[in-house]
Amino acid sequence: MRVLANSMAVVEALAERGDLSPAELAEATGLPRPSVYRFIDGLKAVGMATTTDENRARLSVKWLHLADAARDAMTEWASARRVLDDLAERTEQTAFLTVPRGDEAVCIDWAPGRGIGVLTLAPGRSLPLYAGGAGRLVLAYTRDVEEYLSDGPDRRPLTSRTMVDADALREDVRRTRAQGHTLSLDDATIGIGALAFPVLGSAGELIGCLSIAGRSVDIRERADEFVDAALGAVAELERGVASELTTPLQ
Amino acid sequence: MADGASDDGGIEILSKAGAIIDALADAEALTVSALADAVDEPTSSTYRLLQSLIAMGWVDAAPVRGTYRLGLACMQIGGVLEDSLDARGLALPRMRELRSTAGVAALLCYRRGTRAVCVERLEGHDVRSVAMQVGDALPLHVGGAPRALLAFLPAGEQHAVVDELVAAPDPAYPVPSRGDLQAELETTRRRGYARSDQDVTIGIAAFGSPVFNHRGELVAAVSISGLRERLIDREPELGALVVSTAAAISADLGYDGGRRG
Repeated sequence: MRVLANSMAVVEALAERGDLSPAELAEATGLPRPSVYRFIDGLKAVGMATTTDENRARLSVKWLHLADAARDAMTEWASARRVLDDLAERTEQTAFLTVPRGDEAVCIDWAPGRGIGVLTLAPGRSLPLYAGGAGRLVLAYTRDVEEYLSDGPDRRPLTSRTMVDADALREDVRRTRAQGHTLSLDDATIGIGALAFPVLGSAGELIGCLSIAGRSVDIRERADEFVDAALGAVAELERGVASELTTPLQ
Repeated sequence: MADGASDDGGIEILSKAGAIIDALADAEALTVSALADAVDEPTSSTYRLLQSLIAMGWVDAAPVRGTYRLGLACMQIGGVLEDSLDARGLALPRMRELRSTAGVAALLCYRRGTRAVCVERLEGHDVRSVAMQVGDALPLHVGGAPRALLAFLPAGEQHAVVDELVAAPDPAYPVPSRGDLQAELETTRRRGYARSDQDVTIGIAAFGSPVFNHRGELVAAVSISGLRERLIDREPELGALVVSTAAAISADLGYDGGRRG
């Protein structure tokens, strides 16, 4: 439905670029100006947008509530917050839970570490599948790597260490599958490293990714300790998902 | 039509989609027929709308077959918005109004442990008190904004902070007995604003009120501070003004009056 797709284009432009005038929105979405006015009015009527005193369109705070409601509706991850808090407490690193969506790994929950809270991810933020522990782990576990390399999005480097080269990514996917986790150093944020682990469903399919992130030097030096702690947390998450998914709704 | 607004029922589609989103926001997951009932539409057109919303990512299929829930894209859009909301930036225009109406200094403070740090201060016209310039901190049991922060902390955290304040008192700011402090905090909560009468600087009074975010979490306190006579003589008016300013900043941050999980 074109109206909805165009409304989404308006919302995404506002999310990406902040408050916009109707002229700027027309330019960002490619919609004619009169249509932009009607979409702004339509979004205002359903509470998804407001206009500022300077007549710029702005996303309404309703999106904050929708984001929280979307997180709460992921009942299979009801135990995740506690598991992440425990892991962050035990390792002093930042712990993330990520799920695949299209060509991205989207963070749905996190627990900041002591000292440094890694901000590369946070609920609602995402990584491309060629960068960061969570991104590359999701690539290895959910995608045909050749298909991703040929049909996937352009690989724009996030840092000088980002793997954009096809052979490097093929090798990375092979290594991840062989060792069961991904080690990421400086490829999403310089100075920050991560270890990422698959959370698997009963049929062995990837349903999420648990990762621990911190200073690269700590991730490298304490990798063994972090792997042990994370595998315990993964087992807990898998138990939580299994029990939630076998409990019928209502 | 360039925007397709009339090829499938026009912009009203958006209001129907909005009703589906609202229904899903109030439930964890719903079936198509439950959604059709909630938005008062036939099942077939509800189903078509759902398919569009799923393609957009605003709705996802839930793990239980045949049920739907809000989509990950909602988290992505909300996450971006949350990142861009800055309490200080949103507070500033409201504080300017507060200052010009009240005619005294307006302050914004964040809590750091057992102290409140001043992050913004708009000077009044007549006096300039030395306490609480930007970057200064006060213990949470004194002053307008600090005591507002203490009074509106969740009970567990408030007890922990009071324990710490009592255990390691700041010699410049004696801590009252636990009973007196609890009573004062209770009065503050009921009144909606904290009242500081010369407990930081002789001759200076302050009224402070809390600011909450969309999750109902305490994020800051806004206060006015000035010569005692100017504040105390107009207390009903100025107290209400501080409360309404804090409420307006909270609303800008998405607070709708409730405390969430």
